[in-house]
Amino acid sequence: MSDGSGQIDILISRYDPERDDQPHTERFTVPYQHDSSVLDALLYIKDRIDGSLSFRWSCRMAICGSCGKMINGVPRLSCKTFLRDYAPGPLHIEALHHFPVIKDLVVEQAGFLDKLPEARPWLIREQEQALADGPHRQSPRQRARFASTSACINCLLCYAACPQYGMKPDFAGPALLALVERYNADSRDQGRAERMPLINAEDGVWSCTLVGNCSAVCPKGVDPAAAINRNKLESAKDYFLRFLKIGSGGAE
Amino acid sequence: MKAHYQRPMGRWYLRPFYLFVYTLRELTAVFVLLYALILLSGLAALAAGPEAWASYRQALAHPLSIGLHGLILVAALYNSITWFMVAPKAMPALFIGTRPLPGLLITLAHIVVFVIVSVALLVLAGAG
Ligand code: SF4
Ligand code: FES
Repeated sequence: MSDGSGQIDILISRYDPERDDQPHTERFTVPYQHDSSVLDALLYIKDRIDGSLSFRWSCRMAICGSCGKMINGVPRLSCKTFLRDYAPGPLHIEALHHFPVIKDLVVEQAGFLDKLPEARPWLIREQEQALADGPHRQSPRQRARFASTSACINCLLCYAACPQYGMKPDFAGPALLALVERYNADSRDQGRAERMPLINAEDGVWSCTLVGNCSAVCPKGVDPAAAINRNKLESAKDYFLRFLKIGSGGAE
Repeated sequence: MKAHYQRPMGRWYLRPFYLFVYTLRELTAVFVLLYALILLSGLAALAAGPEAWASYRQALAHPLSIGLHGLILVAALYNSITWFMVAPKAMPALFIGTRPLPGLLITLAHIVVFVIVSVALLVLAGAG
């Protein structure tokens, strides 16, 4: 439509664990305007057509990271995706791929959340600095080193985009490894050695084959693929350094 | 409570299109390997003496071999260029002051060097 408003057909993948063995598709027709997002359409359906439709959302402004869905097969934030771009439809909405579906568009995030502590996502200091010594100072250049990786909102679109995660749910995955890089690249942090086991693990950076799709879908420009593949270099270096140490010790 | 639904992976390596681009990048590596083997067998023929070398060259001139080389050329070009496209992600982060160096620039630099080296090699081969 030229004025960016009208009606659009939306196909939603529904799944009720009490009744269904697998999801089925339901069709809804909703009105939209120039500024209607996919999330607005879901809310319209829930308020006026079918109150049992389940999905997550909160901020409506692309910062809480909870409204990720597959939209025509591509992982996107539903609050940051506009119906006008898909008119006249039909638009197909599914739960994020690769995660177990709890109900309709709601997925089980434990595959990511349970691994979160392994990234040690906090500043680690060898020796805590006394409060009286003032803050840890950081230059704009040092800050720039982790500016992009610190923008992650844990929306998990990158996991839905990664075929390696789909095949190997134990893979630490894009956002978690980007988080590792976020702290390793921080000049105030001294915890690199503690995070190395996660990087080096088989389910760490070496499970990545540089498909690059995680970075393509990231709504925050985090570029997890770069964070992961740069750490392959670190991991290889770490391996050889440890190898040399053992070699020079001669005993093992 | 009933189980969660786990969606099967299906043919992810064919669709969507950008995953097919990746699949092709990985597959074309086989042709690069094939070419390395062809070169290696040439080296072996050279070491084995003038007769072996002559028959190696004869085999190379066969239309089937020329067709295969054409295929390898296309596959190797695809492989190289798609790797140049992801190269910015596989190397240490570069910054100009506080700004990251654009990935496109790094990819272009790779392609420019690639073209210069290829042309230089062709000129050298022509002169030799
Ligand atoms: S890296 Fe990007 S896509 Fe992945 S969880 Fe963070 S913000 Fe979302
Ligand atoms: S509702 Fe918060 S990111 Fe979309």
